[in-house]
Amino acid sequence: MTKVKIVDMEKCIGCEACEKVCEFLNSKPRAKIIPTKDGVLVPITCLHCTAPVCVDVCPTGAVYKDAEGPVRFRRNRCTGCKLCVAACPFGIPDIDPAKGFMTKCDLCLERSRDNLPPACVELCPTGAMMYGEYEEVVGPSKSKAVGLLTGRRVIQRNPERKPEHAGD
Amino acid sequence: MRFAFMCKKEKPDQRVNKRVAIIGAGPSGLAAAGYLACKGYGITLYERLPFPGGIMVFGIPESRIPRNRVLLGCKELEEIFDVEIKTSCKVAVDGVKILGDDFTKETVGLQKVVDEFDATVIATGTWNSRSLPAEGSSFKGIYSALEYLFRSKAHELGLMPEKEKIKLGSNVAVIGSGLVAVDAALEAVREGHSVKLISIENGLDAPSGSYEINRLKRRGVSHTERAVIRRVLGEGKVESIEVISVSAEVKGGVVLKMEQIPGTERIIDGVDNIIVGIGQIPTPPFGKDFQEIRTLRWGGIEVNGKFMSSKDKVFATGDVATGVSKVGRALQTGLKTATWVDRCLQGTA
Repeated sequence: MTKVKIVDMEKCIGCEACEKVCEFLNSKPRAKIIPTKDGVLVPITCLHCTAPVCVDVCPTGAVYKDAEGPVRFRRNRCTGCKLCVAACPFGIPDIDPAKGFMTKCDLCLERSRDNLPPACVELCPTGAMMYGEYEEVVGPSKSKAVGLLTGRRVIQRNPERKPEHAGD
Repeated sequence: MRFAFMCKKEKPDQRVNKRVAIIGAGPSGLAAAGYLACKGYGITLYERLPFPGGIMVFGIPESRIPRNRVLLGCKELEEIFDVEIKTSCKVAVDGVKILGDDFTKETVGLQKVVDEFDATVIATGTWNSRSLPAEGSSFKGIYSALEYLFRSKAHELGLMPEKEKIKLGSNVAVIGSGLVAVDAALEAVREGHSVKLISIENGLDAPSGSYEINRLKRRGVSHTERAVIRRVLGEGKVESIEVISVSAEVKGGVVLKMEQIPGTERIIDGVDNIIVGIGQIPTPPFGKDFQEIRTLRWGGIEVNGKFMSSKDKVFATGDVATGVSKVGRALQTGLKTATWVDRCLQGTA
């Protein structure tokens, strides 16, 4: 039961909800909206690699790959050596300026204990942040492309659909 | 969107015997409501429009934010956390007019709400639009970008008959390059109009970002950059416009310096409508001469580091306190304000 989080760039509008809610919870955001050279706003956050280099270089085992999927860290083992910061191809691990230890996205470890998805996923207004079992998250994106090619799926935003909340 | 993301999908065990009123059910109001509901407070949200969601439901096009995600989050607040969402109910000092007031069925005085609740949070946003700083700006055929988007959204939601939508002619000039202007331009293109975008910013320093401007261009929008409208020409109705090139210094989407270049005036003929999207103005629930809550020069509510206004028990959050921002920042200020409301009511602030 490995959990993944991916961003559907077809849906993302760069509203910064993920970045700002992460900043609210962790005082320094672990997801950041960065414009590409074409100006597309992309949320950059830990990709929780299958073979994470940050884990390989960590001399104390503070950074580890959780059985659940996410790359997480143990604060009490971290020496603040910054090897992980240099090793990550995306520059994701960060040093907490106040305490000097490493910090990164852990897909909301505290919340996962209560079986809750990460906060950025919960507050994403567009549904671009997807989280769940690999098949359940990646499946729809993959079949979307196939659907377009075979003509079984037509892009439609359902403008006529009445809100479910309607009433009174 | 789970506004009550701070807790599980069940009512908190501990209830706090205190009630908080939140005026405005937009991103910041809903985020504050969700946080405080998780802490066990009794929450009443006042929303002057028929649905909660604010700008996410009544301004931002459906192609960007699907309203059902927003409305489902509101439904969870109501059904699981007993948040009372009073729609079509406006809280304001008498006589304050804001875009979309036609949908208000009931108005409650601000003081009455402040007296009734242990704390009041004002999250009314920025619903007024800056008007065109040009000669002839009162001509017929000139609309604000937000009003155009609002009416088309209200129609989409089945709240407004087709005839009350803004009807544009075939040639439309959209002024500005922020997200509101871009969305209005996209909507006009979608309706089949020929759109010209005119802005001080160029494609690279536009506040909406170069991607959005290029996307508009790909849809056939022509972009006149580094230019402003000097005069609107016509007989009481827009017929053509006179634009002038400018030299400008823009940083972070903000125009720092601007100068008109003499001799570059030119007239663009055959403009049927002008849509103005050059900035939003805060809409606190009181007028300019209301003394009890201090406002700043740009119209926003003055708050301290704890998001408290100058009036006892009254907080302000979201764009009405911080100025125009993206959805993310409004959500964050809503959450931060909620933490201070909680601490103040617990006596730990």
